[in-house]
Amino acid sequence: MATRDADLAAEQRLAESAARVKQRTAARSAAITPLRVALVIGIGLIAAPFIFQMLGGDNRALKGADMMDAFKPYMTETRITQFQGFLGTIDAAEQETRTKFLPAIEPAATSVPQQQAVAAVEDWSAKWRGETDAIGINEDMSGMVNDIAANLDNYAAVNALPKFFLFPFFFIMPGIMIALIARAAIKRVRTGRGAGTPGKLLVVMGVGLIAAPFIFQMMGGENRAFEGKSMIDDFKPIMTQENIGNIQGYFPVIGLAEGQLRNDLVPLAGPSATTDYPAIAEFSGVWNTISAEFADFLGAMNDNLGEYSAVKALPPFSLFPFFFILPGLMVAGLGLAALRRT
Amino acid sequence: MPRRLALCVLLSVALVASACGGDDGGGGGDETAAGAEELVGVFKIDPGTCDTAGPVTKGSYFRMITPDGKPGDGPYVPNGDSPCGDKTWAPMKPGSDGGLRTGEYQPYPDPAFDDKGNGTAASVTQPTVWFAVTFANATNEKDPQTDAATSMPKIVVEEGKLSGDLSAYAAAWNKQHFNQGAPKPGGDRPGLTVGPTGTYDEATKAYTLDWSSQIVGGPFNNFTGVWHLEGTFEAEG
Repeated sequence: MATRDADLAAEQRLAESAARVKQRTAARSAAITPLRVALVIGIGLIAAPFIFQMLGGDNRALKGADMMDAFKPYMTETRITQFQGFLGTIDAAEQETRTKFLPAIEPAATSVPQQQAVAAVEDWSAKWRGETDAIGINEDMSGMVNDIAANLDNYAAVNALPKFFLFPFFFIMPGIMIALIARAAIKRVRTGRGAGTPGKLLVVMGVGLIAAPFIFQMMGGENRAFEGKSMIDDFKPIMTQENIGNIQGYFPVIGLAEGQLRNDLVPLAGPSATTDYPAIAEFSGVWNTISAEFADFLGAMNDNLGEYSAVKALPPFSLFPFFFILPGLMVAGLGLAALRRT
Repeated sequence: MPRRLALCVLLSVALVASACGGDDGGGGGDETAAGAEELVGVFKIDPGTCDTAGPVTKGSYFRMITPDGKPGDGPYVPNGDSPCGDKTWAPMKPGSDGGLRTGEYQPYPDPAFDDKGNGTAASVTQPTVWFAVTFANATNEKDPQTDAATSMPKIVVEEGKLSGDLSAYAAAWNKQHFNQGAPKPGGDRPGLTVGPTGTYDEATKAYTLDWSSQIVGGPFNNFTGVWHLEGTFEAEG
């Protein structure tokens, strides 16, 4: 009888022990699962720059940095105002040519070269105003310069962010840290010690990821991510091979007219031509500066078409804050869950 | 002993062979591939002449094809500062060296531009006015547009026909550099880049030299420079 009671007691203790072991095992599994998910998120953050070709492949982050540097000299109030001034100078010369100069000198343009010069100048005048085309040179170029002017603040906002080529590392570095911390936490839980310090670090990493877009003012403050998106969108019609080809085609039209005015037609107006036609004199006087400045700018546009396309191929800039915030929320939440379950 | 003798014989043969394989002197003519002779000296340039009626009818000139154009058909870019009736022709005049040197670079001076953006180099050709600003030609060891190493200017003649490597040829205009070589530095021939080709009369030393070079990059991307030099060749030495 006593032996039987002892057996029963031993069986009960064994059952209770087994139940406790089962409970502890279940608790460990419950704690490890969120840590495993955090590990996967860490790996995902490491992989993201390669998946989006920010690093490797198209190297879009590096190209974005190159593009921002190439545009820097032109994205200033001073430079844009200068371009607008140049267009104003040409426009004033065109108006003076059409309304005053040509009516005055055309009767004197009797030789073949002079008549060819008149034809070239009339062609420029018509194309400048859009008489022969859907859009005139002045309207097209002024529109482009004004669109660029409207994005000076957007450019400045994006330029205030860390350099583009660093962006892949803003995913990779936290990703490595989260993956290592999650792995360390999993090891701790497996040995029965709970998520402990690694679990708390996961929460801290998550909060850091959430805060990053606000610290860099990608969201809130200057809203740099959203301004960047606006800039990329506004530059879409400008940064095309077709648009650059159009502007390249404008140059010989304007340049030919300037040369014909200066060499063949203004001499017909006599020694007082400079004072009688000041807008034309101004045009010829600054033409080499105008052509140099626009050539420089056109060169920068042409040479960065590939870089712009690379940046355009990334997800919209306005989504970038969420590429930090969402993983941050998840990692912080998973860290908390792991801590609670141990 | 026999082995030492054989070695001496081999060395002697090698020495004799290397002594016989050198330049035969006389300047201007170096043998390259079988039958082809390298012309080293100055390709003196005859100035381009035209009248108010139309194109350049004699001498050296430059033209520029638009991105959608073809050699021969055009369209060509008209230059308001051309003295020709047809403004798409830019006659050129010889520079201080008389023309284009082969076997030697004629690099840009420093600075390559004046404060108005005019090119300052004047050894190959005199600076030529192009849209109110002069372009200046040079041949540079390092191409200023691409920073690429170039080959020394080289023209060879074979049965009266000229060919060669003018990858070092460049134009400077309005504070911009344009490689105008054929082939390009490194040997590529993008787009309409062809030549150099030409003719050479051994008796009179008269030559013609033609090439075209598509601009890669910059504000005039895909425009093509068309170059025609003619005159007489003067061998060095």
